[in-house]
Amino acid sequence: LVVNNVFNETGCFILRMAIQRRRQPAVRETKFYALLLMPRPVGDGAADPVGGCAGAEAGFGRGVRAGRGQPITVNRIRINMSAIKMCSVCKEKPATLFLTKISSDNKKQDLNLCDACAKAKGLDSDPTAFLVPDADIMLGLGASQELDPMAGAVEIKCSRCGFSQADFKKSGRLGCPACYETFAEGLASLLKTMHKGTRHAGKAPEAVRTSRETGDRLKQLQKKLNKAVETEDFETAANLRDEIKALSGAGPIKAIK
Amino acid sequence: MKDLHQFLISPVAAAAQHGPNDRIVMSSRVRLARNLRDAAFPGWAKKPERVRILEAVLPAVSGLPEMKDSFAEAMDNLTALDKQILVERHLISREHAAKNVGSGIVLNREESFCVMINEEDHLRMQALRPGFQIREAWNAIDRLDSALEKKLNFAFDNELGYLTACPTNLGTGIRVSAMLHLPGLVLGEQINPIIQSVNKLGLAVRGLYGEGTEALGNIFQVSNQMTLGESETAIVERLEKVLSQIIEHEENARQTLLEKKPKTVFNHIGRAYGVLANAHSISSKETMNLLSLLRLGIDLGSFPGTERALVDELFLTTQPAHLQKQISDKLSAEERDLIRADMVRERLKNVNRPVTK
Repeated sequence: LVVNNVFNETGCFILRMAIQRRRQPAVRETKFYALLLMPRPVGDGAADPVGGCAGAEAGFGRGVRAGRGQPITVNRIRINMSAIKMCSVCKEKPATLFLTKISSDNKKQDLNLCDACAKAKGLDSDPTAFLVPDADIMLGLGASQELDPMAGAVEIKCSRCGFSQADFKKSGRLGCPACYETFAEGLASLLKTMHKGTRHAGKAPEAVRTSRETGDRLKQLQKKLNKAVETEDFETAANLRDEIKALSGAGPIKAIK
Repeated sequence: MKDLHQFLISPVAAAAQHGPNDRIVMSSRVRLARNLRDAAFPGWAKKPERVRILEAVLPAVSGLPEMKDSFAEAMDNLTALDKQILVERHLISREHAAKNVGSGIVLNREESFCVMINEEDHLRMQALRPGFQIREAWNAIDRLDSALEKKLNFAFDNELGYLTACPTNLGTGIRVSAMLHLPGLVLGEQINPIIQSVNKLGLAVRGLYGEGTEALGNIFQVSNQMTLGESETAIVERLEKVLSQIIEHEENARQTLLEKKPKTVFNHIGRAYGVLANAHSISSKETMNLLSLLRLGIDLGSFPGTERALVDELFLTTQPAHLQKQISDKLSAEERDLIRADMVRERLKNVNRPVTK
């Protein structure tokens, strides 16, 4: 997570951050988030709670920030605060924390919270929590609490190294080579979005390469052998059998009795 | 234990290395991620396991003929300053510089191979070449990998390829990258559309020190992101194509700037020279950005008789750790700024004011 704090001219506190794709594989499609935190309104319910900030444009300039994923350029984020916004959770109190999430396709998601609700969500002290993948669930207002126990119920752990799915969510990395088998199911869709394909197309260790070639060749010979036996061409069959024997280091050959 | 400072190629010699197209492509690199079949990845392995891995991998790597007389050391034997110097030389990642017990480095004499042990993966092996030579770098690291697989049992899956700690590196485990100096595109304000279109091709553009860093000195790193489903050579070829295009765009941008806004260009170059040749205190960031303009000036013929190598040397020696290493006392940032300015003034003493054609 790359965080860069700046104050713009109007005094609004702007938190910029780029998500490193690898740490948050679940939100891969979201390349950039911006969080805008407004100062609390002075007095009670002034018409323009953020003063000079109303309609202000927070220029981010041409800054190029490069995360693990793609570098991000944000040209500007428009803050439109023409009226007091109410808390989007309790819908009763005026909001004091304004969070805007901007995804790569320029879709914006707003979450406006009052003091109490921000605290309840734990967003008052750590607004970055808004960036966790579950934030979308949170936007479904309270749905996350219902989902949480379900998520905790099934926990797969790698039998080799003890690494759990929760650990992966936290770090974006796996525990050991065997984890790829343990978590194969969950990884499949992730890999699809992450890479060009899901099947390795490059170099292999020589030992693997030769055993793969041997395997292919053996299959071929076996086929020929079966055919030879079928057509009762025993001379060819005997030759093939010897060849297979040599290649496989005297493995069992079933087709010949 | 070998002294790192004596082992490393001097900044003057390092800057004097030439490669094809090094006017724009400062260096090329290919790295492969590999892991041992029967061990937890470094981020999850406990300390004793990491130490065991290091003790197995370090001699295997340093025993290769390509790594003869190499600098092979555990990270906990290096000082913080040494590690920072390695980062400034682009030999290890910042992440690796933060490692201690259970991690190591093997660097060959020519500095053309550098293997990080127990970074994010058990092995991160890199081949480095000056200028635009990603294909050569791939061939070199391919050979090193083939030699090493005879000694170490790498985690490999028929379907998924080489298994890596992070799924983003799965498959080939390859990262092909080139460091580009693109002042023309930055001054011509064309860099953002270029970055965007490069991104669309599935390639990443990063700052000077890789992940999450700023593009100081108009230096950008372009690299592949996807590692699974495509062969190494296909990735190298795609990078080659894209890099050639970026080089062409940069050359065109410089030409256009000279034709349409010569005053702007020479103003930038002249001011950069003015500050660098006369400042008495200068930060490393400002130095980088001004050196970039000086480098552009040399490329455009504003400083006849001055070699690009001089700028590339200063790019290195003005970095905080390199500066610190030259002075025995511990320096504060302010003190470094003074010494940096003195050094730059001294090195530019014989460089004449820019000529404007």
